[in-house]
Amino acid sequence: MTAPAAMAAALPQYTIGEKIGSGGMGVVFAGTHRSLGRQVAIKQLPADMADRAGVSEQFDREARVLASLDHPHIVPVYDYVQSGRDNLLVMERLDGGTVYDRVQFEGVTGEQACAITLAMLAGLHAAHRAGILHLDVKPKNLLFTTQGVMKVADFGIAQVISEGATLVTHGGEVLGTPAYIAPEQAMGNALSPAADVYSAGTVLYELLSGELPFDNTRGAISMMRQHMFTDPRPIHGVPMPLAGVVMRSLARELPDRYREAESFATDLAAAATAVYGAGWLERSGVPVLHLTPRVMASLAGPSGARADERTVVTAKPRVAGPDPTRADLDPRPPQPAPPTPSALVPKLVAVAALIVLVALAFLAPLKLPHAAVVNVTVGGTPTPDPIPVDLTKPITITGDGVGQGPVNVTLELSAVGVPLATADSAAVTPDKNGHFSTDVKMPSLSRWIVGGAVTGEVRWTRPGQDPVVQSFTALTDQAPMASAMGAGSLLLALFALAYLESGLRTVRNGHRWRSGRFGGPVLGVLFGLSFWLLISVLNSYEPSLLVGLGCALAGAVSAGFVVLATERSARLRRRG
Amino acid sequence: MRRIIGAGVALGVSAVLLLGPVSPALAANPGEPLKIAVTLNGQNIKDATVPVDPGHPVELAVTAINNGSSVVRVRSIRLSGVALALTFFAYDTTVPFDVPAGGRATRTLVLDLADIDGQAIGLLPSSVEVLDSQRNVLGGASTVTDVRGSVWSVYGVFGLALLVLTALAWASALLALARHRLSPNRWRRALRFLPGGFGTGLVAVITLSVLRLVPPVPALEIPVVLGAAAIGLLLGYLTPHPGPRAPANPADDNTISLTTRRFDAATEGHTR
Repeated sequence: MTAPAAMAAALPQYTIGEKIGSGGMGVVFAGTHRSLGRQVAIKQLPADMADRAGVSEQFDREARVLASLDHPHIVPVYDYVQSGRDNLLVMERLDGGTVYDRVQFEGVTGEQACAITLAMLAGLHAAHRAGILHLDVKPKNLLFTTQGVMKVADFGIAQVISEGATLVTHGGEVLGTPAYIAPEQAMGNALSPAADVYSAGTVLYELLSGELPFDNTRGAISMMRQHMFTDPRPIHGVPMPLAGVVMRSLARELPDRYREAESFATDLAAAATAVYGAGWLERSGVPVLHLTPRVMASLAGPSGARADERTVVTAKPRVAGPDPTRADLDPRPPQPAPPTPSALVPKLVAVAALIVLVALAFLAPLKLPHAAVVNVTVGGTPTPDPIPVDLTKPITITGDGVGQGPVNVTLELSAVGVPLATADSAAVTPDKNGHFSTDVKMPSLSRWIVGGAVTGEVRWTRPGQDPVVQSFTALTDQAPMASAMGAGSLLLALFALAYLESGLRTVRNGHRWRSGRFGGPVLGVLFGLSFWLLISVLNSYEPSLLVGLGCALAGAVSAGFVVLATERSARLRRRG
Repeated sequence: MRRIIGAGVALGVSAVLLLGPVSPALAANPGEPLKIAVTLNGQNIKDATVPVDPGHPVELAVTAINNGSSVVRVRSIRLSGVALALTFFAYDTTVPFDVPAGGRATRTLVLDLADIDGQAIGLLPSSVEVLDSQRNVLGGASTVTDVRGSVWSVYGVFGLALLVLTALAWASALLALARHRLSPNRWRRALRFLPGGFGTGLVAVITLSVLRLVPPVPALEIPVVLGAAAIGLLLGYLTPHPGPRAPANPADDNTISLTTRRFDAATEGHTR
């Protein structure tokens, strides 16, 4: 989109380029000063806003104040033109992307989040002192220069605090961003610098925890209502006293919140020093300039100036942990955060364990050793050789050496000792040579349960004698996947993988998988067992307990190290 | 797609629940006055799988034994195939005859089952019943028929559609689990896995018989389906909370125009 002709006419000293952005604040075009060659961004207010009565005067007054702001963390305004219906602001052009972009594509560490917030608060404090509220602080309005200096942009909906007048926005239409809007702004109540403190606190909450303090799944209206009527969720995964500072900046009631950006910055600097250790600001790599003496003092640690010496006593903010008072600040010399080890080693271990799992499953023995105890045939085939059995038809069992008198013959199918199906014959009387022959009908349900090869046992007991047991390898006739052992193990393996991926995704999204260290290996055990059983059924391997345990162990190791590798990768990505 | 799968499985559930109670095959009357012995093409159907080829007529011989003290009048003989209480084929033939008290009577019919080609395939629970003039069942015998029908028969398509829908239901549920698309509510997550479990039970009963992989057992059909559904429900119940969503929902990350009004703290309502 090219610039309208009216804009080019209104700014003859600039070459107007392409549109580089748009939003509730209007449209932004790239531009170049013809004689100086300076790259600029030209913002054009929305036409419908320009039509409203009094807006031009307000914009005129606001632009003058904005142009007077000179702070390294505020995007400077070079020029301002009103021409016809056009209200144009010429500002510095920043090409280093936004904080939103950095969070989305690179992630930010805790130190970087605190440094970005300090820079933001420094800019906001300067604006507040000049009588301007931002009222639309959010990651997309925090821009980086190509040198990495962050500047607060888009004071487009700012309210001018003029001559100490009451900061009241009476009912009417204003602009705001639901995810970051202060409760009093959403309700149309009186506004003060605390509204920007709230939005800045929301940004810090998001940068540190990776999520917003309210449920953002139910749309903009719900988000606004939550800001107005609900306390924010306690922040998780952020140590004290930093969590306390964040939650205090988000207090719904004004008396509980920092009243000004400088107080917030002072407490934040002290808390970050306590958590991340001295020198955290330098380590973050985010330039923070023009800090006030109070903030500088608190950066030095607990021995510095008390951050809230000019702050009224407030109720305790809600945090996920102990009381966030200044007494919680660790008086010991702060330790630098330990470096995150590489994710390569756990990845390699996980892959190796997975290879072991697959190898064990495929290299399992075809049949288990079964000693010949007595002379028994099943379906006409002598035991203990592998014997095909049809679970839908009666199975003929013959045996010798039973002795005199009727006996009940039992046929049991099992896998690694887990009984799958059992059937008893009617009482059978052996002939004079102790030979018998009987039919056994397996339960109907067994045809849906048993698949592949399993362990069969023919057993009979005579009163006063130990049971006679002859085990053998039973090869079921039906299709392996048409059984719970086949299809069920496949579904369980997929379920374990999906469950594991769900947890890993949580970690990759920058959140904690609270039960990951325990749940990962458990899911690995489930996957290992399911995979082993699936391969055993498909290949008609008689299930072996040792191989099953080996697969379960390999699965646990693999999944555990996958979780560890993902955690490390996510941490490294966040640290840039 | 998820709704289509759910609708398909729900349709199967509804069919079973609604049509089940009125199915004649399950309306077995323990007080049946006749004992029935049946041969199909000369083969006794008791405890046997009887092949039925649509290309050839079937010779059906029914022997009715009356152990009662009065004559029983038979009006017709029905051959039907039923799975999950759904009748997939039924052939009624009028054959009036009397079975004297304490006596027996045998009638032999030749049925042309050419139409069965489009109605059924695979291993299907079947029954032969004799009916009186009020269409009450006087006696019957059950078996499993191996119908050599078309894959595109009603039963065949039903079985294959169940297989496809069940596979999609599982894929959808497992992908949703992996991608954090499940509901935060545990019971809703359980319900999300229910179609997969239920479908698995239907596949075990219907599809496996269509594919001639597992002979059906009418008495176990409902327990198998309900058991599989319960397992699906349990797996869904055990799934984890999907966790926090990715930050920056576009819906509330953009600057929007707001109309605000003064907030009345006393009533927590909005007043002009």
